[in-house]
Amino acid sequence: MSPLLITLVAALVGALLLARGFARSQRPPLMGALLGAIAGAIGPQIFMVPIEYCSLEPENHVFFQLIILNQPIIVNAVLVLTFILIAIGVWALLLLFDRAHDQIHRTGHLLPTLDMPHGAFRGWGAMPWLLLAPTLIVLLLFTYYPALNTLTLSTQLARLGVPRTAPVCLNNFATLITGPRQNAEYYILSEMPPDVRARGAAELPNQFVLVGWRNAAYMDSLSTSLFLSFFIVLFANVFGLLIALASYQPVKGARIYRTLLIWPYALSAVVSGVVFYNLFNPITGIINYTLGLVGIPGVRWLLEPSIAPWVVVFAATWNVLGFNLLFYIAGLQNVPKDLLEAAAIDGANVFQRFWTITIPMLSPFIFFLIFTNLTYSFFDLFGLIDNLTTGGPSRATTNLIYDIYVTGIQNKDLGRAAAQSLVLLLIVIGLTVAQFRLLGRRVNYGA
Amino acid sequence: MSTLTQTSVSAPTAEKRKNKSWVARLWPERWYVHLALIVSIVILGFPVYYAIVVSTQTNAQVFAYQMIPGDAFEANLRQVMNQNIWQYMTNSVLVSLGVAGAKTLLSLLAGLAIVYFRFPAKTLIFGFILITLMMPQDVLIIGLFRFVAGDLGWGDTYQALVIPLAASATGVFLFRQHFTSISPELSEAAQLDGANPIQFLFRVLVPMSWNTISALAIIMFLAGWNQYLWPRMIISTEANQVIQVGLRRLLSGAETGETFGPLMLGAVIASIPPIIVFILMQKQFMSGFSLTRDK
Repeated sequence: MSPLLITLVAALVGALLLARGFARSQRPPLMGALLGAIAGAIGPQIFMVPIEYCSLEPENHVFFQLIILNQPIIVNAVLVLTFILIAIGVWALLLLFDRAHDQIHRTGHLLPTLDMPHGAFRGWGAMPWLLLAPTLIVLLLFTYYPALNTLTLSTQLARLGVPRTAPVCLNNFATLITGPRQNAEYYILSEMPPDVRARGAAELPNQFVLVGWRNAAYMDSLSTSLFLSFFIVLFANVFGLLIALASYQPVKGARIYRTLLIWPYALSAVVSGVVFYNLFNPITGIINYTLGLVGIPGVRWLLEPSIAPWVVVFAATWNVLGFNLLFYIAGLQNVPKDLLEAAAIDGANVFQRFWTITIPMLSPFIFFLIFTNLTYSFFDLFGLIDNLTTGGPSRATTNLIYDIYVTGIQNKDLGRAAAQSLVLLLIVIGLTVAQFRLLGRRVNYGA
Repeated sequence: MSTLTQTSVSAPTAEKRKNKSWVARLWPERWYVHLALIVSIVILGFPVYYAIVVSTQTNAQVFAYQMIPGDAFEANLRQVMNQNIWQYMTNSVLVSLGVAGAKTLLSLLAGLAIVYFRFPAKTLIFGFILITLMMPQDVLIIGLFRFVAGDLGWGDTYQALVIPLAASATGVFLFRQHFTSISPELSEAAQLDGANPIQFLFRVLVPMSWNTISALAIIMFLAGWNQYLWPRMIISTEANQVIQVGLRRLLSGAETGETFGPLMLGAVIASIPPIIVFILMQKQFMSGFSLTRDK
C-alpha cells in the first residue's frame, strides 16, 4: 500500500460522499465533488505526514487473528489504527468543508461577525491586542503547546526524566489495544462445520478463533471508566431528581430541608475520598461494625475488586448529589404550575403529569447535569479514587485519567501516557460536540 | 423562594387544621414527605457528622465506635499542626486567590477587547479561545508537566500552580455575553467624556458587573481550591504543597500506623473555606432561582 494510492482512494470516497450530501441539500453536486476530493486528498495527510507514513510498514502488534482452515490471518493493530486515523482526518475535513460551504451558501460569508454596531473605541491601534495578549499567551503556552507536546510525545519512546526520545510510530497506541500474547484469550467465533469435525479435529485444531484485544490492560481502564461514569451519572440524577421532588413539595420547613440537603456539594472530591476511606475501611470502618451489630458479616469493601468500584460510585454520587439537587430544585421552579393543574383537570394522574410535563420541562437541566457529572466522573474523580482506593484493588478502580497518571508518572512512560491522553481528549471532544448539538437542538423550549 | 413555599402551603392547610384535635395537629401534614426528606438528610449528612466526631477522637475511641465527640480534639489539632497543615492551608488560599484573581482580570480584559474594539480576525481569535473549552488541562497533563517542569524549570513553585491556570475560556465567554447586553450608549458617552478604555472598564463596566464578576470569581476560587492532580504532580516538597494533596500525608505521615482523628480533622479544616464560600454563594443561588422563576 502506498501513500499515493491511499490518498487517491480517500479523494474518491470524499468526492462521492460530499457530492451526495450537496445534492441532498440542493447545492451543486459538482462543487461538492470538488470540495470532497480536496478534503479526501488532504484528510489522510493530517495524521500521516507528521509520522511520515511509518505505520504502513508496521511492527508486529496482533490486534486480532483469525485462524481459518489452518491459515492464520493476522490483523495488525497498527494498520487498524492507521485506517482509523485516516478516516478521522477525512471525516473531520469533510464536515468542516460542508459546514463552511453551507455557511457561505446561506449567509454570504464564512464566519459570523462579532462586531457591535455602535460604541466601539476607535483609534487605539494595538490596544485590543494588548488586552487580549495575556489570555492568548497563557492559552498558547499552557493549553495549545501542551496539546502539541502530547501529540508529539504519543509517537515517541519517552521516559520521565530522560531528555532523549526516539520515534516509535504508532506503537504507543497499538499497545493500548493489544495485550501480551502469552496470556491472550481465545474466543471461538463459530462452531466447526460438521463435515470438518467428521474428518477429525486434529487436522484443524483451532479454526475461526480470535486472539482478543480484550486482554489489553488499557481496555480494563476504559471499561472501568465507562462503568463508573454510567452509574455515577445514573444515580446522581435519579436520586437528585427524586429528592428534589420531595423537597419541592409544599411542606413546612422546605427551605431548611433544602439547605441541609445541598451542602455536601461544598466538599471536594478528595475530602469525600478521605471520609469514605474511613467509613468503608474493612477492618476499622463503622459500616462493617454496624453490619456486624445486625448480624451481617463484614464486607471487604475496598479490598474486593468486584465491590470497590461500587464504593467509588457511592462516594462520588454522594459528593455530586448536592450540586444536582441545587439545579433540579431550580429547574422544578421553571415547570409552569398552570400547565400541571390543567393536566390534572383533564384527568392525568401524577405519573402521567411527571412524564409528559415535568421531565420535558426539566430536559435542559437533565442534559446539563449529565454532561457536568460526566466531566466530574472523568476528571475530578481522580482525587476521590486516589484517596479512597488508589486505583486498586488490582486496578479495579483505575479509570482513564488514573491510568494516565500511573503510566506517565509512576511508571515514567510518557509516550504511552500521551497516547492515552489523546484517546481521552477524543472522548472529551466527542462529548462536548454531543452536548452542543443536544442542547442546541432538542432542548429548546424557551422559558 | 420562601414566599413561594409559604403561599402554596398556607391557604388550604390552615382551614383544615382548625377542625383537628391537638394530636392530629402535632402530626405534621404530608408526614411521608417529611420522612423521605429526613431520611435523605440523615444519609447525606452522616458521613460528615461522623467525620466531625472522629476528628475529636483518639484511635481507641474511633475503634470503640463512639458516636459522640471524644476528648482528643486538642491532641489531634496539635498533630495536624505538627504536620504542616497551616502551611498547606496558606498555600491553598494563596493559590486559589491567585487563580481566581488572574482568571477574572484576564477575562475582563479579553472581554473588553472583543466587545468594544474592531480588529481583524476577531471571530477567529474568539474561536481560538473558545476551542480550549474542549481541551481540559487534566487531559493534557503529560504535555503540560513536561513543558512546565522541564522547559520552564518551574517544578515545585507557586507560579506553576497559578500561571498555567490564569486564562479562562468560560470567563471570556461570560464577560462577552454580559458586555454585549450592556447598552452601547454607555461607551459612546464615556468616549465623549474623554475616557480611555481602561478607565471605561474600571469606572463603568466593573461597577455594573459585580454580580457576574463575583459569580465567576467564586466558581474559579472553588476550582482552584479543589485542584488536585496538577499540584500532586508538579509540587514535590511539603512546604509548597496545597491542602488537598497534603491531606493524604496526614494519614501516611502518622508515627503510629493509621490515625483517623487527625486525618478527619484535616478533612474538616480543608472544607472550611469552601463552606464559607458556599454560604456566601447561597444567597446568590436563591436570587438566581427567583430570577428564573419570574421569567
